[in-house]
Amino acid sequence: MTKIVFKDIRIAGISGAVPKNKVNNLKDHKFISLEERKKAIKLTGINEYRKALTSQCTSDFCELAAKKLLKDLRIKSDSIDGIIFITQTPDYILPSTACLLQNKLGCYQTTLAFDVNLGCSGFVYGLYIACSFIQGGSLKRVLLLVGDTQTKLSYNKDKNVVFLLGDAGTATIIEASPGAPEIKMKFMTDGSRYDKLIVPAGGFRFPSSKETRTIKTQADGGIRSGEHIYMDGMEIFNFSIIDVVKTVKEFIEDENIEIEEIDYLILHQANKFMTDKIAKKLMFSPEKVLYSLDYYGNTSCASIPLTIVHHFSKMQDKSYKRCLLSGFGVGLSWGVVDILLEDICCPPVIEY
Amino acid sequence: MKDLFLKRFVEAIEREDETKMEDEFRNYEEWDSLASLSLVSMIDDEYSINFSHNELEKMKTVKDIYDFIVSKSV
Repeated sequence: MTKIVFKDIRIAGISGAVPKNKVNNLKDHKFISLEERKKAIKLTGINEYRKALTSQCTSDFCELAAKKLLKDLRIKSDSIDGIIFITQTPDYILPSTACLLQNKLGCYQTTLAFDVNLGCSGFVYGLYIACSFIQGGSLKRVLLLVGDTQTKLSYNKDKNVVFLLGDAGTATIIEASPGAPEIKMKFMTDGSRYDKLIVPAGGFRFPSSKETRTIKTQADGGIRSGEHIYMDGMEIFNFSIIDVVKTVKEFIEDENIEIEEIDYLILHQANKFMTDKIAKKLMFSPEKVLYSLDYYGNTSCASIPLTIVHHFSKMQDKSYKRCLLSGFGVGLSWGVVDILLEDICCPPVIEY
Repeated sequence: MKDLFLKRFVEAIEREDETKMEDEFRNYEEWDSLASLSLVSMIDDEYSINFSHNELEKMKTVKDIYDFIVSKSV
């Protein structure tokens, strides 16, 4: 496979929206002892996260984020050539939620629009798709909407996920920009470990039934139903510190990247214990590693863009920041992107 | 090497009480999913060895973990 390189394309801006409703890892989860709650916070680094209301869908947060971004960039929705919505929590099984958003955002009918089902690797894959469509020549401007309401897929008494998973929606504008520096990327997939992070039932392989909806003790000892998220913590941990580190290291070597030239390393916000380890193995000093999980938890595909917004919206000088992004997880799917964020528009995170 | 391993093991899982090689570590008060991740992390850091969930399942005593490390170090 040849290297993935894009030219004359830039990110114009990124915005994010999160539910106003907070879950506090220390004060809530009364079914778990205080001691265990403290331990979990220490391991994950997550103090609190946001939980969408029943009436709120991922697309609502992405729509808000998109409208704010378009306003601040002074771009009209009719200049958007493509809408890509990356999520595991769409409004409907069908149609693609991106189609509804084409209408809600007032885009032309000539707009391409579709959903992509990816989680933690979603943002970096989304950048690849958007850049490919622009480099292909036909599209000038793409709206990449990335987010999830994972709390709706987690069982709220499952110790494995209740401290971790939060909700958010983000919007990114990617556009053709003559002279913009190269964006380099690398992607990987390993379907042999598909079952390490999964909602086992409720799809078509194991359709929803009274049995799959029953909360019970599962094979791994965890308590949840077949239609809730299951994560094999140890396998995902091993995957992150072995496979993800290997891919990023190889990418850095192949592309002759000097660590000193990278301003920020932005990893999928899985949990602090894991991401600290990855950063350490990649030999990035702590001040270069950006985090937002302490406030928002692990927000699936939204975690990288949300982290960028969280920091860049407050940054004094964001004129020229070279960033190494890496999303990894469910699939198993992972990817790494080397990109220059040049004076991107970043409104503060919206609470809804 | 055995003493150093025990020291690292105890630190990783934050155990304060006496620890013997014959102990079944799953019976420890300190043993939970967080402890198991800390253990995996320590063994990766100190011995550059990784193991899967299945391999850990087979280990019952502290000595089993040590023996596993020795076998992989050869």
